[in-house]
Amino acid sequence: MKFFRTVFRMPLTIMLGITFCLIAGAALYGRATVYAEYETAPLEEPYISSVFKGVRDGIYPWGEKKDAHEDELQALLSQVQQQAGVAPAAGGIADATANKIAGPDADPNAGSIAGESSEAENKDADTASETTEKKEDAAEESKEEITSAEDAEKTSEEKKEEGEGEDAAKAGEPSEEKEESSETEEAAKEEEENKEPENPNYIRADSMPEGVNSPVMEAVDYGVAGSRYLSPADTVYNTDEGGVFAQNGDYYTFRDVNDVYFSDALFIGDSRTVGLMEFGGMKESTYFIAKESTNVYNLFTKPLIFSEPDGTRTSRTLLDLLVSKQFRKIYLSVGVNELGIPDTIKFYESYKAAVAVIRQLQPDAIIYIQGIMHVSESKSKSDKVFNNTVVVQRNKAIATLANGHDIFYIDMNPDVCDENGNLLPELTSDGIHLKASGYEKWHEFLLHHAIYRSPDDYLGTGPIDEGVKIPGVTVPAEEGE
Amino acid sequence: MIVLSGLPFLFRFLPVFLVIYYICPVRYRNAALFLGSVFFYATGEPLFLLLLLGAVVVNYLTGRLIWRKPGSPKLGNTYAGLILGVAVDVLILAACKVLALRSDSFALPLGLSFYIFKMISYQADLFLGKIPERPEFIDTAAYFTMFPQVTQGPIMRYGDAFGADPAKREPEEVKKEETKESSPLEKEDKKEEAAEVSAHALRAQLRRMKEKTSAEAGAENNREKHNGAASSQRSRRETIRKTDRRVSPLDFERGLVLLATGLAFKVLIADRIGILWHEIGTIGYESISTPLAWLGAYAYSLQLYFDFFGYSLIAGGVGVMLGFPMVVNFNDPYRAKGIADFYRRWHVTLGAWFRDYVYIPLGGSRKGPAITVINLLIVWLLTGLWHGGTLNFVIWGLVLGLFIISERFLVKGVMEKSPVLGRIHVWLVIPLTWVVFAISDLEQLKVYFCRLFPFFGVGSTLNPGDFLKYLQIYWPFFLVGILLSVTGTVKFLLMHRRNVLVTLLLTAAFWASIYMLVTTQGNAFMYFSF
Repeated sequence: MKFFRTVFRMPLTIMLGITFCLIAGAALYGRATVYAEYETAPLEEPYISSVFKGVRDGIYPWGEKKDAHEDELQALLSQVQQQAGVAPAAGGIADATANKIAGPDADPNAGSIAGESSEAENKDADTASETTEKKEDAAEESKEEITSAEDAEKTSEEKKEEGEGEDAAKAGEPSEEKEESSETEEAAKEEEENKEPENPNYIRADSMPEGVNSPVMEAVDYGVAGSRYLSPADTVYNTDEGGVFAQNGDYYTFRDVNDVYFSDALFIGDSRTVGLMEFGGMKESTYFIAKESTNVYNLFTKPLIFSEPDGTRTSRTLLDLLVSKQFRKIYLSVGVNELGIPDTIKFYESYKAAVAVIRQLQPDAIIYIQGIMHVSESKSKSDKVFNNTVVVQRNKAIATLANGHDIFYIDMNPDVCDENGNLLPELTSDGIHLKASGYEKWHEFLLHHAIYRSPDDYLGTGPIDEGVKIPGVTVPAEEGE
Repeated sequence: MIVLSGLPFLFRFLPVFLVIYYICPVRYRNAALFLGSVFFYATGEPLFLLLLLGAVVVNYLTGRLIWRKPGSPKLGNTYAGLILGVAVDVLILAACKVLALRSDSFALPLGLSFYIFKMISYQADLFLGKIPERPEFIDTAAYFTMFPQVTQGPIMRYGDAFGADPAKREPEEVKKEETKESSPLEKEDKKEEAAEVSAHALRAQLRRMKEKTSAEAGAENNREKHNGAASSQRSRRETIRKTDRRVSPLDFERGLVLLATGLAFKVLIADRIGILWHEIGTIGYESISTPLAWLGAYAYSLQLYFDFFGYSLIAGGVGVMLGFPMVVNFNDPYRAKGIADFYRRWHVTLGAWFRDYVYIPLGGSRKGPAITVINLLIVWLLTGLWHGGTLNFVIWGLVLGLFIISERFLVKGVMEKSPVLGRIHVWLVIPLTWVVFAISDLEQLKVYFCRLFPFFGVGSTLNPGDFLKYLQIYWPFFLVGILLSVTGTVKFLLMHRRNVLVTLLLTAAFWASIYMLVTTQGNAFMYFSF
């Protein structure tokens, strides 16, 4: 009796005990099924934590709970992905990667690439041969494909220092650049090679100078005529940020524009873009759709904040927005939240799929792939996840997605980083985000790095500010610097 | 594991340790506590464990020099021991603080400021004869290292938990609270527990009497060999040592209530509202609007309060589970009537430490106003330095000292007539002093104050509506935080902890806290929300 009297005086102990047992039971029950994908570190996390993670992700012991809208979105997304010709489901990413990696052997055109990679560093060659082996193994399962991706990751990690150096050296030296032909790039090149040449003077991917599509390359005109947008001969560029080259030989310079240029633009991104929206002084001249913790995996279906120039803000998913409204410029800036998922290839493939979906939904838009902004030196040194080695590696991967025609890669890191590629300490307090006053630098960068291909690219009602030097706006063919 | 509000501690270390501790015979529990604490500290800072253990040994030895039987005169040893012990402690603390300040790579050893203060208080209490029984090494070691307190206090006194009569163990603050506000529920518990203890004693006495009459001395010895366990238990009861740790299930429940409350404060309020302060830092002080600067000052104040308060409740709750008296470290400071009053209620154990071991030995307020002013300034300068070596902490301490002096000598009349000035001090001056406390870079501090008082044209607002955005997100936390600060909610909860609603609320809060812990810091790969 005394026992029970004591027990009834301990309601919280009892309640916590009962609830703990219930939760533990749920964790046990769902261990092999719904919670299977949650890894638990036994020393750091209690067994029951998978239940809480499940609650966060809408997964319960009795199954996944999804609202109708989300299902609709997913269906729509996979439909669009199919139209765009990319692997629809997340599970397919690994397969797609493997196919791409295995591709070069099947594709006769790719002989040169395979040769290049075997001539390259030993590490790369190892990876490449491994890939070949894998390809030969018909009963390849996705598990091993993931291993292969991890291998590639390791290989890239081994090149840390080299990667950083390369990035710091603004003008990419071709010889050095060639060495970094990782699988990612092979995949990209291969993908691009499969495209029909749009121009008779098409430059083959493997003969294409490195640094193409990158703003930090030397401004050399490769002399392929055939477009009214080309800079005239004898054009002399004062900076090394002269322009970008399409594989078909088209050549565009980055122009100076004013804010009107952004009036039909959409900025998509994570918390950094939220910062640009709040403090970049652009929110009255352009559209933003952004929210913290946006990443390339949840980009289309996560509810984001959509900010319009008139000041209205609504919660929209990107997919909804892209289906219902057309833009002429899409600025994409994600990548920092994904750093924690240690797989550059997966990231690259997802990014590529995302760009393809945007392309599909916004056929007329210039897509700007914005390089992931580097982090500060102290952050980079102290953080296993958020360091510039990984950022540089990822930027290299996504830079290859640009085609110089309607998809461009722009990278403002040279404007906000020191000579070692670290984010300047005075521009940041947490090492990852710009301080509010630093967003003007981003804004300025965007104003100086606009692509203007034809009058269609500028649909603003007012004139482009005449005080701003905009080469090529009125008579594109006659302009230079 | 070292963080009391973290999953490894709550779900790994604490349950395992409690089971071992409860299985352990009462008289070995201090030893178990010491070993457990050593393990706990080693998981956090294996290297500085040596410093901690070295300090424990030195302080125990000097303590042996100091201790004397109550009533006997102070000898040369007593003074030598005190001087030696305190000198070593102060030297360690000062040296580490200076090193940490000068070098980037040297971080202050975990919990140093707290355990050194415990050690000094131990020496002083021995000197003052507040510890009547000579401390055993294991008790002293357990007292210095005990894991609930070693990282962030509270700075419990040896006598409160070890040296004094078990019946008188409750620290004064608690006793006051309890006589004032304790519920009938608590009294009933206490009565019953007391009855139980006396029944034990009675039974033991009876048994002893029986044994004495029925058996000769030799037979008794034999029996003791036979059923050693039973007889050792008996002998334990006969001499209830003052350092024995008895824990009743009701103690566990009380501790659990404190722990759940503290965890909720820390995780659900402090950590949430702390994000706002962090965001303001990310924006950069020079670009925030004035309303946001004020919002930030209050956000930081609430964060600090619920963080430290929550932590102290967890530490106190764990202590109660181990059979220690509850150490009150926060006593509704934001209900204070002035700054002096505020600091009698804020971090009570630290304030009491400075009062007992610095202010009063210096003469306190007995030597005239001038000395009092100087003493107050010394105490507050030291308080500032104790919190950190940088200049902002010195400013923080001195500003508080000056306000307390002014409250005492200049505006006393005004404050007595109407509570307004005191409340303004608490709700306006205190948050501003927390800003000084928070920002160690003086340039940045200047910028922040220029944003708070935008008359000097420093910085410029980049987004005038910024505070609205944050207010929209954080208003529930401000509301709950302020409500909890101005009402006696915590005491109410603790008092009515057996109420069904309170139990449900605490259960929900506990699991909500665990949810937040799991989803925000569990897996390094999942927590990215930039």
